Amino acid sequence: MRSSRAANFAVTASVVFAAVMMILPNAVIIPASFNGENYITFPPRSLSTRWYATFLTDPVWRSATWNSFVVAFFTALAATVLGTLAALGLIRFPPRTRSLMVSMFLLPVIVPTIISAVALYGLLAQFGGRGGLLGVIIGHTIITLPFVVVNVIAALQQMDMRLEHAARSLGASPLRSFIHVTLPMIWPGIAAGAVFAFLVSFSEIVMSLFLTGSGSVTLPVQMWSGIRFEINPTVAAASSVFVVLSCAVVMLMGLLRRKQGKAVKP
Amino acid sequence: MNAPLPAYPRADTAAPPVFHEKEACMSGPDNIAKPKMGAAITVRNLSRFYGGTRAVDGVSFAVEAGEFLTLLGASGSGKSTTLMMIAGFVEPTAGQILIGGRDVSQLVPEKRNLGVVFQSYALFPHMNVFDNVAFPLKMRGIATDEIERRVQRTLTMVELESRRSYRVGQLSGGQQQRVALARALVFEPPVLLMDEPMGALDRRLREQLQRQVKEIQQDLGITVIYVTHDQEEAMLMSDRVGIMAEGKLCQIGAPREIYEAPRTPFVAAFLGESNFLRVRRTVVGWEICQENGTEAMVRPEDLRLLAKGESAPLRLEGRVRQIEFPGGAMRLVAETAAGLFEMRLHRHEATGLRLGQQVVLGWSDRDMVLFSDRPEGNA
Repeated sequence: MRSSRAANFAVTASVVFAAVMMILPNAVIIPASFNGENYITFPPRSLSTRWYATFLTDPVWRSATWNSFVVAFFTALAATVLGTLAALGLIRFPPRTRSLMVSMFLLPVIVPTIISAVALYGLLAQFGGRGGLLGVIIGHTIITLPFVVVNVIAALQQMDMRLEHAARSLGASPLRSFIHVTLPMIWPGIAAGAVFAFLVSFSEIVMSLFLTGSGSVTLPVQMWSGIRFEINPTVAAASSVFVVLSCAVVMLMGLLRRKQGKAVKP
Repeated sequence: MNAPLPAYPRADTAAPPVFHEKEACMSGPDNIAKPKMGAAITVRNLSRFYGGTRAVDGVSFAVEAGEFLTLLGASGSGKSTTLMMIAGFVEPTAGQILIGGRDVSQLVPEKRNLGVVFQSYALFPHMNVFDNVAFPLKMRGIATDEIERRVQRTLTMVELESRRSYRVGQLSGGQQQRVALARALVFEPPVLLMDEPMGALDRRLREQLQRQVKEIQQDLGITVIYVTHDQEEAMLMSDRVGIMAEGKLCQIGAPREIYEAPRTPFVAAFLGESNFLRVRRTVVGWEICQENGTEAMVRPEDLRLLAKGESAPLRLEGRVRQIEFPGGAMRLVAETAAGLFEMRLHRHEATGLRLGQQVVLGWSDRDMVLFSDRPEGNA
């Protein structure tokens, strides 16, 4: 009895510790972003929104933010289409072959990003695609693909594959059975994969450092240089916006999930 | 396919084999007068191998238009795989499938125009009852008002018209089963394939649905291939039953034919209860023996207790080992020279019987099935 209570306490304590460790950086960076001084301080000595103004008006920051949105959008699009197609193919393998193939699709997460980045850098240099947004999108698609594959495979495994058989026996072609039966059932998985791909791409830095050029700097790269060459408080404002946006996206996804869950199981 | 029935080895050649008499449930389909929308199905030498395992091994049979055929077997006997090959979801390793005279072996499932009812019903959970049933009509590009009319008519047939806007999850198991049936019938396919459709239902509901399915099948004159492991279900519903084991079709025939004239000891033991023994023909009649002779089988309900001095074509002495009452008839197990023998008794007959008591079992040679000693392979 006593030992189980102690174990309970230990679990609770470690959860609280982990939560604090995850929230703490935000608790520091958000107040710091409202600092009026010319460098990052905590706790802030004076209150001001001037760094938010800089973030929203300075052309360098604006173009970096815009680039990040463009890259994240097209990365999410490409990764979602490719990853969903891959998952649809993988699910048709017998379980053992499937898990082998899935782990191959997970390689971009396992291999250090810097290796993929260097390899892609060399390849793009040969074809003259270095420094453009397209190169960054290709790079990000490679590393976000596993998130889509894993999410869609999970959704497909939840689904009774006999539903597809039923649709086929009722006269639906493979494409129509996908559109009318499979897609409505697995879209939460696809949406989750797309959101992950978007968020990962939006905050990705290693690949971007290699592949961006002067005209294609993304927000994380801009933040990196803002920290590296000057302790610019705009970085704090940018990351606060970043955190709020990410939270909003994740919450939105949670809401959609819940709605979908209700629809399937009344 | 309409070859005369082969002469099964019967115990007494003087008495005609029982299954040739015009009795109920003795022959195949007799709904010839009905207008038929069913199609005939011929399966030739159908096989499916998975690596070294032969899931289905050279199965051949022919189903007449409007006939109800059941494939009966234990799990892993290849009955579902056979059905899935006919439906087009499993590619045959070898063999041919003809529906209405047309070879469909190379056709994709959606081009075969078959109604399929799956074990888990496979209803679309994101659609309501109406949309589920309307799905095959939408896929065929039928006009909206025609869809409305036909779905309504089919839902009325399965008595679910009041549930048309319900979600699938709001229905009971029996109702889901009927929606699945309606969905498989609404586009008027000539053939309906059913894969253990009653597996998840309780007994009473099952009986009710069995009757309903049978009635609908006869009204529409549709050809049905039904797969089940439930003997009673197979015997009750079918015009003919095919027994499957280890990927092979052991015997196919009308329910009473396979029950009364099983061709192999396996089929005899699989269907209902059976007592096995060896017998030898003598000048005056029959003799029960231990080693030589022919293998024979007699059903428990064909045995009776002989009173003192009473005679029967075959008789066997034994001692009462068990008396049980499973409901209905009493079950008596006697220890005899030929092993344990099981028989049925009316409740009143069993009064006064004690364990260990000497009894004499008797039966008619007409009710005994003889198995030739040929290997089972060519059965």
